Amino acid sequence: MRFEIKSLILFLVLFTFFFTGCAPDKEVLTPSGKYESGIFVTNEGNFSDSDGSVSYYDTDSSKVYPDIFAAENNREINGLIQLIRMHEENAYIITNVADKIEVVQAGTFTSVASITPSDTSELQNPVDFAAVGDKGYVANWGPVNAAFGPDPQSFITILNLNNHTISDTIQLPVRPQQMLAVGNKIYVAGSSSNLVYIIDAQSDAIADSIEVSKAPYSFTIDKNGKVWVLCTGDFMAPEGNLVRINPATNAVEATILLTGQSPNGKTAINGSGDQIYYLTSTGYNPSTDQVFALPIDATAVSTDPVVSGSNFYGIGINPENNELLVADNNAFQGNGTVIVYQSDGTKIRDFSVGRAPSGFLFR
Amino acid sequence: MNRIFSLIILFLSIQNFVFGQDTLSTVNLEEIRITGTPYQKYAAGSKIQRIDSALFASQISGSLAGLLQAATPVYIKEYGSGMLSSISFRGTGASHTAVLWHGININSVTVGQSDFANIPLFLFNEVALQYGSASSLYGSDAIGGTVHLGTKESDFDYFKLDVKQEFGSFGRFFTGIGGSYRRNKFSGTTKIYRYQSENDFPFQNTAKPGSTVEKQTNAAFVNLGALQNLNYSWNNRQNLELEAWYQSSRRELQPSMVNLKNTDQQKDENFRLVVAYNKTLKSGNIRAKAAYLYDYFLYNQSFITTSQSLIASLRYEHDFSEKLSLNTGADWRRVLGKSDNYATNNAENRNDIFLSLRYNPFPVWSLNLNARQAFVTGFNAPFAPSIGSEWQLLKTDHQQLILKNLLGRSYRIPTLNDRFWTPGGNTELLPEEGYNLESGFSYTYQDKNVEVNSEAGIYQQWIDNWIIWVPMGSYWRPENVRKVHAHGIEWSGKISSKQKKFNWMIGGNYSYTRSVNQKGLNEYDQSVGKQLPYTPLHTASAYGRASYKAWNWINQVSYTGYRYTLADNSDFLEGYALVNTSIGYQPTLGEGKILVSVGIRNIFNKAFQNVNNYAMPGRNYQLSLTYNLTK
Repeated sequence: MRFEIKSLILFLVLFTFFFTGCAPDKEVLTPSGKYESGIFVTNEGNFSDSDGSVSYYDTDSSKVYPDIFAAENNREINGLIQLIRMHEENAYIITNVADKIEVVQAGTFTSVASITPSDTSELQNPVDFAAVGDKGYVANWGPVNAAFGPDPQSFITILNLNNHTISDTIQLPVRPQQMLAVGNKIYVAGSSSNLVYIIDAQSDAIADSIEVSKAPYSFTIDKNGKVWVLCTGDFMAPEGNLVRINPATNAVEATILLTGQSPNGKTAINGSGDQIYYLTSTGYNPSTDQVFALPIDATAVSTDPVVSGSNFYGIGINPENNELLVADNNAFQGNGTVIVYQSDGTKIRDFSVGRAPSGFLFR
Repeated sequence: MNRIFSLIILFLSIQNFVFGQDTLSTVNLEEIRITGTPYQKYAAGSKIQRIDSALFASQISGSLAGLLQAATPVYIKEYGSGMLSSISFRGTGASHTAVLWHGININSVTVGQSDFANIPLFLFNEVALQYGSASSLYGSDAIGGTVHLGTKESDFDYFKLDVKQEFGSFGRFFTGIGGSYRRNKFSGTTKIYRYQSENDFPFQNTAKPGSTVEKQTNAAFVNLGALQNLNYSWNNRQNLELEAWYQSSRRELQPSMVNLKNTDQQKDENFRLVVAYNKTLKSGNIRAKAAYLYDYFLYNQSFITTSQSLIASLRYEHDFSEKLSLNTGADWRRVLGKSDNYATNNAENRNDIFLSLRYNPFPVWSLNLNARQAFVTGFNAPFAPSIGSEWQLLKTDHQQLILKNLLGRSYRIPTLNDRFWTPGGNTELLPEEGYNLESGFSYTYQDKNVEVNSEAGIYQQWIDNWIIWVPMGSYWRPENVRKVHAHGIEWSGKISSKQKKFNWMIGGNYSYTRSVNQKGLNEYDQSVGKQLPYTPLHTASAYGRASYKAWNWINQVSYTGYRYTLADNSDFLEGYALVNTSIGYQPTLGEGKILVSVGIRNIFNKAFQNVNNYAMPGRNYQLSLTYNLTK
């Protein structure tokens, strides 16, 4: 029935354009694109319930669609969602506890594949995904105890994206966090070290490493194509750093100390690619979570947060209107909230999402 | 994801994220003989439920978790079959029930609660529940209720032997031997048991695409325990008693059905020793007690937490007249906690002084006034008074109707984990505090053949500074955030009949529990005004037994209503009813008796989850052989 309705809509849309002679827009290219122009909200879920979900915020109607994976596939994700990454037409939902990658067609959110390992050496506590062509790379912590010990058994899983199977693994000497594909290279943040590892997507081997600052966590690309690494620091040295790398030479061009700030690793960049936003926490007594913005040509950090609050768990910038979205996990006590601010920190609205919202994907 | 590491252990050791739940009642006017704990005499107004001994015997190979589910409407939250089982009494959390052995609170000082799967019935022969706050009598933790464990064997002249062997589905074996002996002024009891299960039951995995049937993995366990009691009575006015209890549990931790590949495991060991001296004086008595408690917890063979308590207690009771009695004394407790997750070892003192008065202004009216003040290193523990009343409205040869009223203040001292866990422990926590108000009627009828008990009550309870762990930046940290109002209705009753060859009994419990959070973390907190998670509104149970000559039959039904899984009530687990039945034949064999019994649990093969995504076994069977000799 749904297929028939979609076909009918497709027919009507094509029919209309055929006669009006307008240039086709994306509606025409992906006519079944139910989830084409909105925001995916990643709801991590609670550890013991493994109830991660994806909410969809339709920016045109301001309507929130909860748990769209379950709505489209008649089953829950049943995992703790680390991140959702886009590659070509698909979205890759990286989950742990269940240790699997759910692959969906991003426009319809219908399942393409559910990649599960045959044993824990293939996929264990995956944290991120990046892809080059038809190869996918998944960073894994490996066993938790080892990952936080002196000798992590962490690794990268290589996926064949044509048939969505696991083809190989690469051992990593450090516990990884986020990844970034740049050209033919995959950057891997070695969060238990001060190194960013580079994987050559031709040879599938570690090609190089770049020394940055303590505990590299996530990546952002600015308008000049430069890669920014957010380093969180650790328990002993809680101040973070933002480090700029030139991907052409792998040289570190700038290191900006986030004076007095403890970032949690979450970053976002504005639509024009010249302002990096990051989330910090004062720890406790009192616990205040703050979002700061750093212009890419700055030499020192701002001490004035864009917004402050508590239970901030993720941030995003809508590239179309530069609205700042903050995910509030409501202390994992139930469902979370997304609070939307203007780029100057003025609150616009909020809406409810699933449990423990942690990040955004803008379509 | 950074939080996961510390969370895994927290999740295992602290259930504060998820509060638990509760319930109900029975009256029993018989004095419960639990050594050194005169809890009935100074507990006027409290509902005290003593578990039926035949029901107790039918579950003897199991744990207290199973018995409470079967025989009371208290809610037990069970993380899989035979796994961590925490209690929720009257809509309170897992740390809000005191578990007393010889009057000593054995809740772990590190996690603040007891794992009811690790309290084996075989080593005990009596369990009683005291409903409602009793901090004025027992101190910290007695907010929602109190569980009393009794070990005294008395139904023999000079020798008693029990041997039990049980076989069950999913590789379950139970072996237990118990002996009691008495000679002149000396008596003793020795019990030892071993209980193991492969626990590889099949279940439908609703968390996987296609809901395929799978076998549970990583859920095997071996439990061992031994108890030794020695008693020397100079005469019936003076005795010295020693009891030692060793308990060991090695468990694979049943993973959620989302990830059956998980191989986590834990080991618990407990050693408890008590020496008690009682002397009855002309118009009163003295009780002195010394105890040592040792708890050991090993997670995944790498993280160790241990705690020790050294306890001394002295109390004096004086009967001024038939109308007025006074009980006063002091408890001293030295606590030492060590953990791989603490920055330092932590030692502290927990000292209490207390006073109880019982006054009967008229023969039909009993009044209790109790008060307790604790002195804990680094805390201003709340003063805990209570006032209770029992009014006999009706008293005839066969019938009795009593009106009970109780008002009390309760508290809980935060656990060592709450304060010293690294990272996150919060040394600035305040104790949790509560008020409890309740009222109920207790009715009994008794004649030569029939006995009827029925007790119904209502209660209200307010708990403030309720501690939960909340994320603070990269860490989780306990905070005094919740304020909870709980109220409910409880009923329990039973009818039993004894005739020459045919005996029967039926009983039941029901409770309605509304436990509501009153305080939000911030403006976005949607849990305000909502039922606490894992707190069923309705629980009920019914049981019946009948015996004819050497045959006996026991049937038991328990119903657990739907429970919200989230504090904002946005998701819930469906309610379920479980039916267990067993039939036994007990011929006399020489001087002893042998009992052969066959049982079926979950007879309708109901697929259910107690905790979200944790599978539970369907229909399963057991065959047990018991030999009993009493002289």
